[in-house]
Amino acid sequence: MAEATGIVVNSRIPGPGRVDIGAGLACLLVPGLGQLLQKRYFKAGLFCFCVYFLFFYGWHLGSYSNVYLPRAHECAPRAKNWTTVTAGPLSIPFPKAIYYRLQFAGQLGTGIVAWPAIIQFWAVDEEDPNAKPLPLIGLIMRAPPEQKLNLMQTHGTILWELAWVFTVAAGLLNILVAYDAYAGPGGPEARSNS
Amino acid sequence: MIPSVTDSIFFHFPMLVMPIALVYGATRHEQPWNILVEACRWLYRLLMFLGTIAAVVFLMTWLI
Repeated sequence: MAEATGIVVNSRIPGPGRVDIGAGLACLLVPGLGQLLQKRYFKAGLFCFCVYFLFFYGWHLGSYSNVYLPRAHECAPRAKNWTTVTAGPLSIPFPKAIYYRLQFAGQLGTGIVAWPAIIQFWAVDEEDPNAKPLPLIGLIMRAPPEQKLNLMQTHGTILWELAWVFTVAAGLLNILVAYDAYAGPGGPEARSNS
Repeated sequence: MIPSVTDSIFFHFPMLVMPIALVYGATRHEQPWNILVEACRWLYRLLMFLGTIAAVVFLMTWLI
């Protein structure tokens, strides 16, 4: 049936009943890495280029200051790492850093390129004026001090807002990419391959 | 001071929607030509969706 329709059968492509967990996880580290391991070279290159293009373009538009995870010590509740999110009658504990920078939850989907922000979060307090650059990553993805953020938001252009949309879109698209590596494409070719 | 064309969000808009359409297309198909065709369909849907929202916002701005 597949030959009659001219569709190339590729046994490396996952499909219904045949999933590839390793490739899916590899994509969550580097976009397209899972497809590369499955020898789907065209899609690996396409995914890697598109996701990284969005991420780095957005990072550049945001003056390299919009991918970060703040400790937010001065924000409520002060000196605590957890806050509470209420949803109707429920009170759910939630990490305060993500609560004050929800965009990072999306940006993290891009994989290891967003990990320097986590290292900076653990190692450095952004409000400490004496904080030194870290080895290897220096000041990359360090949370800007509150004063600098306020300046960028009030005196910068609308691009500051658009920039994080690029980086979050990259992270969310990479989840689709990981699903493609895990379960294969969702179109008719995938069903033919299975 | 004359605002630069790169300060407009519309200058950066194609750079946002084109990779999104390509990734959407590639998650549906395996062959490059099919991916391109699907990406064009997604581009059309995205433009229609965002264009509709923009039209509603412009209309509301004009009415107020």
